[in-house]
Order: sequence, then C-alpha cells, then structure tokens
Amino acid sequence: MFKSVIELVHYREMMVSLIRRELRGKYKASVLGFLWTFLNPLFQIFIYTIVFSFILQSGIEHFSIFLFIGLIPWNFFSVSISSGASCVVNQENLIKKIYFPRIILPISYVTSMFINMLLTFIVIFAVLFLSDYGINVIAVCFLPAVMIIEYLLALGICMIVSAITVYFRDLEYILGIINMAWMYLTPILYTIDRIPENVRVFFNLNPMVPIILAYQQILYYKELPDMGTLLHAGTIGIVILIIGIFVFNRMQKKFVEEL
Amino acid sequence: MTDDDAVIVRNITKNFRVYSDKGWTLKERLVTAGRRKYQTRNILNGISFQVKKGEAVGLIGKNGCGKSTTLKMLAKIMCPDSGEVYVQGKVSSLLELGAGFHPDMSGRENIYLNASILGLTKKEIEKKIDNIIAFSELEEFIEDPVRTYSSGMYMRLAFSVAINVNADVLLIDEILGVGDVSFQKKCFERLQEIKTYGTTIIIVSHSLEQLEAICNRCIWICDGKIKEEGLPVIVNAHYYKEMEDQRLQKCKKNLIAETQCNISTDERENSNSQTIAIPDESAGSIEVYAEDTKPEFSQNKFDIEVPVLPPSINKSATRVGTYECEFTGLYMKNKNGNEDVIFSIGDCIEIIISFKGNKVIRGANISVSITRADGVYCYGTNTRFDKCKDIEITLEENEIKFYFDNIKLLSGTYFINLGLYDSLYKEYDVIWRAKKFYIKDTNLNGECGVFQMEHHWIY
Repeated sequence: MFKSVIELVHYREMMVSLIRRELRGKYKASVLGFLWTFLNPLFQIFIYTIVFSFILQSGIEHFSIFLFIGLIPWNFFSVSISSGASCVVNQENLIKKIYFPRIILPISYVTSMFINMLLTFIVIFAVLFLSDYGINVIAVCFLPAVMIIEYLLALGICMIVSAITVYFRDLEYILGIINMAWMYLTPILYTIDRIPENVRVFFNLNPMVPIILAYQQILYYKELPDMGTLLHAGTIGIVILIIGIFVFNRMQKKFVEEL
Repeated sequence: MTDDDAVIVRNITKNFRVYSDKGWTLKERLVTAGRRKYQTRNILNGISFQVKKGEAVGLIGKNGCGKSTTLKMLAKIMCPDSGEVYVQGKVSSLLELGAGFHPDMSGRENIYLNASILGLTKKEIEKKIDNIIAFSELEEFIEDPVRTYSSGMYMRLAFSVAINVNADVLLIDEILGVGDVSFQKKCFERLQEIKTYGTTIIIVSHSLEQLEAICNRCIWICDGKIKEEGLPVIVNAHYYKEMEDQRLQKCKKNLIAETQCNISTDERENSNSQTIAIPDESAGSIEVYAEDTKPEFSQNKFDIEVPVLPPSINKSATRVGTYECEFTGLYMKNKNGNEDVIFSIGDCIEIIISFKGNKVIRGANISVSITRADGVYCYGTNTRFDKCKDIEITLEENEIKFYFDNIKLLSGTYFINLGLYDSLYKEYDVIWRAKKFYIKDTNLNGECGVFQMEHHWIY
C-alpha cells in the first residue's frame, strides 16, 4: 500500500500529462476549442429552462440558477462514471506495452473532468454576480469541501466501473441507462420537497442526493450546508473510494490478458 | 540475488487462454455461461536465466515463441503463472514507441507526454528535452502538431524519447528498425554508448547482425523453453541453420504438394481422354503445316497447341517448341539417390530427364541450364557443346541422366530449364523453369554472388 503511494508520487508527471492531454487534446481540432467546455452546459441549461419554465412548469423561483447549480456537479459525476468506465479499455495500447501504475488512468480521467467542472464554476459565479443573485461568502467557504467529497465519490465509482468494464464491456452501455435514471432520482430538476416523506429514506440512499443538496444549500439558498448532510456524503464518498481502490487493485492483474 | 545481478528469472511459466469465440457482450455471456470454450496455450514453459549488471543479452526465436512475453514479465506488464522474476534497479521498457502521443499536440508537448508515461519526472524531462530534440533532428518541426509529421519523423521523435530515458535495465523489443539508414545507425551507436555506461540491456530482435554487435550473450527460446544460451555468434549460427532448414522443409513440402496436385489434375484430364485426344491430333496436323511453311527456329506458339506439362514439372513452367518430340519427365536426386529439391554447396545433383518423340529423330540435342529465381541465367550446357554422342529420339520414352558433380552455386532459389533441339537448334521442346530447387545457406560468413569461385589470398 505504502509502496504504491510512493510509486504514484513518482508517476505524478504522467498523471499531469494525461490530464493535460485530456483537457487540451479534446477540443484541439475544433474551431471554438476549449470554449465548448462552457458552451455545452450553457445550451443544456437553456434547453432545460425552456422546457421546465414554459412547458412543464416547475414553480421554482430562478429556475435556471437552481438548475445550473445542480446540473454542473451532476454532469461531472455522470461523465466520470459513464465515459470513465472506458478509461482503462481506451488505453489498451499503453497497458499492453508499458508498465505504469494502472490506477493512474481513472485518477487522471476523473481529475481532468473535475478540473473541467471547476472551470465551469467560474461561469456559475459570473452568472450569480451578473444576475444580482449574489452569494453568501461564508457558505461558499464550504464549497471546496463539498466538491472534494463529490470527487472522492466519483473517483471510487470510476475505479470500480472502469475495472469491471475490462472484463465486461456491456457495462459501459448499461451505465448510460443507469445514468439517465439516476439523474431523475437526484433533485436537480426539482426540489427535494417534491419527494413524499415516506420514501425519502430510500431516496437518501442515493449518494448523490446529499451532495447535490449541499451545493444547492450553499449557492441557491445561500445558507450554510447542513453538517449532517455533509458528514453523510463524506462518509459515503470515502467508503466508496476505499472499495474502489480495493476492487481496482484486485482486478488489474489480469488486465493485459483480458484486453 | 547478489549485487551484481540485474535480472534473475526463475522457472517462469505462462499460459494464455485463447477463446475460440470470445463473448464480450451480456448476451454471449449469458448464453454461453459456464461453457465458454477456450484452449490453454502454453507460451512459456519454465524459463530461467540471469543477467549480470552491464550485460547485454539478446533473445532470439521464431514468432510466437515467447520472447516478447518474457520481456513483458520483466517489465511488470504481465505476471507469470508460476516462477519468479527479480529485477534490480529502474526498468525502462521500450516495447512501444510513441506511447500516448496525441496527434494534435506539438512535438514538444508529446515529448513531455511520452516521457512522463515512461516514468520520468518533470525535472528529468526538462533536463533531457534538448538532447531529445537534438537527437531526433526535428528542431524545425518541434512546435508543429505531430499529425503533420511523416511516419518516419513520427517514429524518430518517438525513438528519441525512448532511447534517452535512462534506466538501469533497458528492455527493447524490435524497435531498432526505425527511420532511414543513417538514423538507424545513430540509434544503434547510441545503444552501444548506453551499454558502456553500464546499463543492462535485454533486447529482442530478428536482426542477428545487430545482436552480434551489441550482445554479450544470446538466449534462444523455442516453444517456451530455452534451447540454447551462449555467445551470440554461436547461438545465432545454430538458430539460423535451424530456421533455414525449417524454411526449406516447408518449401519442399509445398513443392511436393504442388506436384501431387499436378498428378491428380493430370489423372483427371486423362479420364476425359476424349477431350484430350482431340487437341493432340490437331496439334499434330498444325505441326505439319508449320513445318511446311516456316522452317525457322522460333515457333509461333499461337499456332501450336501446347501439350500438357508432365506432372513432375512445375506447373508455372513455360514451354515453347514444335513438340515433334517432347519431355515427359524430370527428376532431381541427391547423392543418396532420393528425390530432393534441397541441396548444399558441393553436392552432387543427379538430373533424370525422360523424353519421347512423335517420330524418330536422329541427332537431337538436349540442354540443361539453371536460372536463379530473379531471372539471372547462371549456367547452361547441352550435349552438342559437350560433344556427346548423338541422341536418338524414338516413339518410346527414353531417359538421359545429367550430373552436376559438384554444384558451386551459392544459396538461393533456382530453376532448371530444359531444351530439346535438332542439330540446327530448332526448338522441339523448351521448358523454362521446369523445376525449382534450393541451395541451402551453409556458410554464415557470407560469400556473395552467384557461384563459389576457387580462390586464395597471398600476403
């Protein structure tokens, strides 16, 4: 365990390079380039706002801001597991030919998506200021903690699914469907009040619920996050990450033969 | 493991599962659950060797014998099923060039990317980047995206990164044949330089010359086991000899198969004897006509039906002539009197030629000649040159034997050509490339040309 941490430290430059390649290489050939990182969610929000403000009225005040705050973290999470599932399979050539700690692959993929999310948060803050919606500075101090918890959770799940995908390629497609359902089971397009009290216990089993709620508390309701929620989310995040590392390490031994 | 050992491999084995029909998808998994067919292929079957620090070792063997698998185990890419692998020091494996290159990023960015994947830290890369760029000779293009590079430039950049990664143990898998000749030479010199620094090198290559130049030792792996180990010159020579033998055996098998195929089609054609008889007769009638009107040497082959080639003659042979008389068989035998198509320099080759005529012809002349596979005419003679007594062709099949008592051809693929002429060299039947044969490569020291010539040196 200790040895593999040292090895990871030694390979930090590889992680940095892969993250850079992921972020910069992705849009390199397109005309608008990196701008797409921002344009994509903006259009997504535009569409949802139209649908849920005019067609299916949600009755939420400042709906686009509410949506924005929930959707950006969700997008990070969702891409980390759906596209993240193939992050090992896609690097088949590297794995077959070069030795490096395999766990770098999910780490660098999720990290690059995380950085992507951080950059999109610049847009969120710009919108909050420009629309005179304003922020609660003290509450925002808790934002990094929420982000880190979400990162750990996404990383843990990505490790599990990317390792399983090597042996079972269907998972990638199955996850696409799961993701779709998962999004509607998370209070992004609606407030948690819509969920009847008696099923809310089950609802809270979804690890993304406390995380999205915390984002909304901090930025939409401009209040301090509920510490119970935060603790709940943090525990789930760490437990899943530990399981992820364990599963990935167990499964990586046969990667070369299975790819 | 003592201090001066760099690599110890102890009795490693490895099996691969080869799925006859690998089911990746859910449906296939469910349908075939529990009865997925696979064969276990034994790749390595107990290999042990040691490499001292600073030593250069070459791994040789035919494709699929397990060389690359061994290298992958040393590089920790794969784990052996049983046995142990110890490697002391930092390992750098050059099994893949340009790992992780992104086509839209510049040459410089890709150097960072590739080098970091090979395990270098940022500081190390910065220290080396100038050397790497200089080595690749791509200074002018280094800021361009690599997708604009030619494939040679791409490989040069990739190789420059790979060869500049310093390590205690360097594993190389067939990547020395990169770029143009001068770049290859440069890479090779660089490798020798690395060796002088005391880096342990383990190299897989099919270029025996390169191995001999750089390695202290060669290990010949055959069917997952070590067949021979020792000085490169000796091991390589044995390896080369066996590979050559195997190749020639395969050629021989193909030839035999071809001949048998000839015979079987021949039989088939004979069974339809009606159809074959007609062209024969018509050939005869045209022959008369041809003889009357144009008694020249050369024959217009469009006028004459070419008789079916005898089964003992190569199918790809070409034939011209008037066919008043024709060859009916050709056999090559070795000194033991067995039919053979593989000979060594200095061997005696017996060539048995049979022929018959449609009429009795006196004073015929038979020629035997050799051309190399690339068309070089090597040697030719005939009974007239050799002042043999005249040959009489009758309606019955006759046989003549010809001997190359001491064949001096150098190794290669050759063909026997046959000719049957009258005293004025009118072509009755000339068969080009009638029979294929091989001369084995027995002298590794390498004479070159067509023939071995008697010679000596004086100082």
